[in-house]
Amino acid sequence: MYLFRPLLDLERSQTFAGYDLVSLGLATLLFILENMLQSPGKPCGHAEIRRFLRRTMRDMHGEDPGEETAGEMEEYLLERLRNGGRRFSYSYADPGEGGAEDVTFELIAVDDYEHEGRWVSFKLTEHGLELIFRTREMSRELRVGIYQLYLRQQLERGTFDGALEALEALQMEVRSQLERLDNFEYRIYHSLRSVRPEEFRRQYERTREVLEAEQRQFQHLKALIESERRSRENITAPTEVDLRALYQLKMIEQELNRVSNEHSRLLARRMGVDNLLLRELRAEVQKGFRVRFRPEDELLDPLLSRPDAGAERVRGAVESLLHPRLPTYFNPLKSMHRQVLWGAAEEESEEIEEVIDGELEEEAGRLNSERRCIRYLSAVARLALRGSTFTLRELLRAQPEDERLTMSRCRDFFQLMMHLHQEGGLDIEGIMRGRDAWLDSGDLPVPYLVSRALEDFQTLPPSLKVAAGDEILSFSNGNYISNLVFAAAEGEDDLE
Amino acid sequence: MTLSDYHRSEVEEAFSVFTELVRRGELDSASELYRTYRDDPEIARLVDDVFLAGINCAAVRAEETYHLVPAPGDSPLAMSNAELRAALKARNNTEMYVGMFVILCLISLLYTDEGSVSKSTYVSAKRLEEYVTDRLKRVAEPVDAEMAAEIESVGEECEYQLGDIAAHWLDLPVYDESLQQPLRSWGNRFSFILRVARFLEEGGFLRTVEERDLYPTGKLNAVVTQYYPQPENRERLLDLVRDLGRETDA
Repeated sequence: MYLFRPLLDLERSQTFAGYDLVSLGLATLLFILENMLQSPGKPCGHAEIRRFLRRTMRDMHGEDPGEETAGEMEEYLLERLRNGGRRFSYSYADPGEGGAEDVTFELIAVDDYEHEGRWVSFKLTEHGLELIFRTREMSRELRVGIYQLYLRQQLERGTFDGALEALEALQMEVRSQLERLDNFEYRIYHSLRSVRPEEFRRQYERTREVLEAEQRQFQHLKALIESERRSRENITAPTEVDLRALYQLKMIEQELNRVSNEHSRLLARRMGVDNLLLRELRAEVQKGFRVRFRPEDELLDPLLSRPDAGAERVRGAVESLLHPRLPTYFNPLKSMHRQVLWGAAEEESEEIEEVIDGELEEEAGRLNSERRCIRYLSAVARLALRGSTFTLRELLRAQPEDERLTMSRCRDFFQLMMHLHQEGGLDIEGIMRGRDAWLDSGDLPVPYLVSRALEDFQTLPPSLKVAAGDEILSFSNGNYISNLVFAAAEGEDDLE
Repeated sequence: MTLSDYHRSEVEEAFSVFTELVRRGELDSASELYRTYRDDPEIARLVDDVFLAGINCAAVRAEETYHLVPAPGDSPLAMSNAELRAALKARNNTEMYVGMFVILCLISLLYTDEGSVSKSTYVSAKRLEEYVTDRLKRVAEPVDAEMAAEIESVGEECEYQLGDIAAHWLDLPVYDESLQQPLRSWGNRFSFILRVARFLEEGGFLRTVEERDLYPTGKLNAVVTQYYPQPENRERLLDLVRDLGRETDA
């Protein structure tokens, strides 16, 4: 607590009414610290502090205090914080051990001076650093550096308990920075707009150079600990104190390694986030000055304002929400292959080639096949309407000569029959009422084909059961199939 | 920059990205090509402006996946009407168009606020039903006689009009209590909405919870809030919804 006395005493001061002297005092200490952290130590003399105070006072009060006031303030604050050059001396009651204890300390010391130029540079003493460390009143960006500095001092002084404590704080800080970085990255991913400008700034302030400087500091610390450990290991007759110190040093070394590893991750992640941020910013800029997009205003209302026009427009508006047709055959490299007539690879007779003569495009072939299947299905339906049971052979016989040939030669008729056989029938009623499971079998969208086939029918044929017959038919394309028996299904249940 | 300025390996890599997108419909972070596409602006430009533009498609990124989507207007990868009917499991074009209209209403309900944020995290099937019905009633009952006459006269030229959509929808009962499996029917509005929702779900655009609430996915968000608002897409969409009726071949 005693460390805070010089600062708190400022509050009672009557000079400079209207200024928060405690804050300004603390700010001055932080300013000196900041200069210390810049490596190699940036000089921080009266002039620098004066400029800093002038800036800070202007920020606090909104008006420039002027060179003179800033100078007076600087003089006053430094006087008070350095206790006029004397060490601060307080005595306080120690409730633990009873009695009173005197403490003396100073917060600011002279780092460097030059008599001729009448110039001095300040630094924080160990107590000054501890004060800052205790207040945690430091910008996040500098915390790691401060903890490192503090740790170093503890090590140099040989107080390893304090060092462990500082390490813990350091570790927590590194972790929380990792967490913040994670969070930041996630938010960038999610939407760049949710990231506030201050956040960008804060992330950018914590530049790569700072992180790299911290990395170097870690290396120094490691070296320091190692030499310390070595020197203690070489003691020939170690006392208990030495052993304890050695043990603590090992712990510190372990912890430090761990923290420094996490810190390296911080550096790596930081680079990743930088890239991400730039990319997202670029994307955001590319999007241009987008204001807003309300589908209701931009799509639905214009659409509805012309009810007369075709319904195809509705589809256009949502085209991007319909999954693209990913052609399984789409392989642009195939354009390099030798062109082959469709179906010619099937080692079929020349007759097949006649049937499909000219159908070079697969799309056309598919459409033709669909059309044929619809014809076959209406043939089945016509026979079914007669009400009696019929076989596959009868179905074929009932067709005109040409159609029979097509059925016998093309694979699709065979496929369709196999499909019906496997399904055990054709739930016509179900399909027409949309109740069928709509299970597509491979390339055959049977329910769709059936509904197309029955478009011209006045009365619906009954649902059919399909079972194997007692003989085998062979087609001219080499396929074999049982002489299927088609019978009207008695109840829907039979099919379900 | 002309194509000849590109290095051969860049073109090859861009082409690999393109084929992967077209083959699988998406490109996720598990793929090496994902990083190439994301991090290399030259390659991304080749893929977007040359290859994808060539088939009138675009890659839209949602979280860590690029999705291939057909651009508004004609794309060789867009489904034909017959394919769309089959995918929707619709029995005819009317049902298909009503389905499209329901989708349009869904996004109108979901994205009511500016830009990136959707105001609603979900839409219930009930609210969607009311919204669609409300919108279609206005079509079915034109505000004034003049408009009605106009509908009458122009209507004959086109095969399907909004009026057909409205008539079909308004004829359907809102709900059919007797159905065990509402998803199997087209016969009432709720089933209709659920079927459309399932279709969108298959495309990765939606999640249906309890056959009641419809939640947009990142992919839907990406298309509506990132892809649609881009000036050129916006323009095309507007042209489509205003004018396509004149040249329809439905």
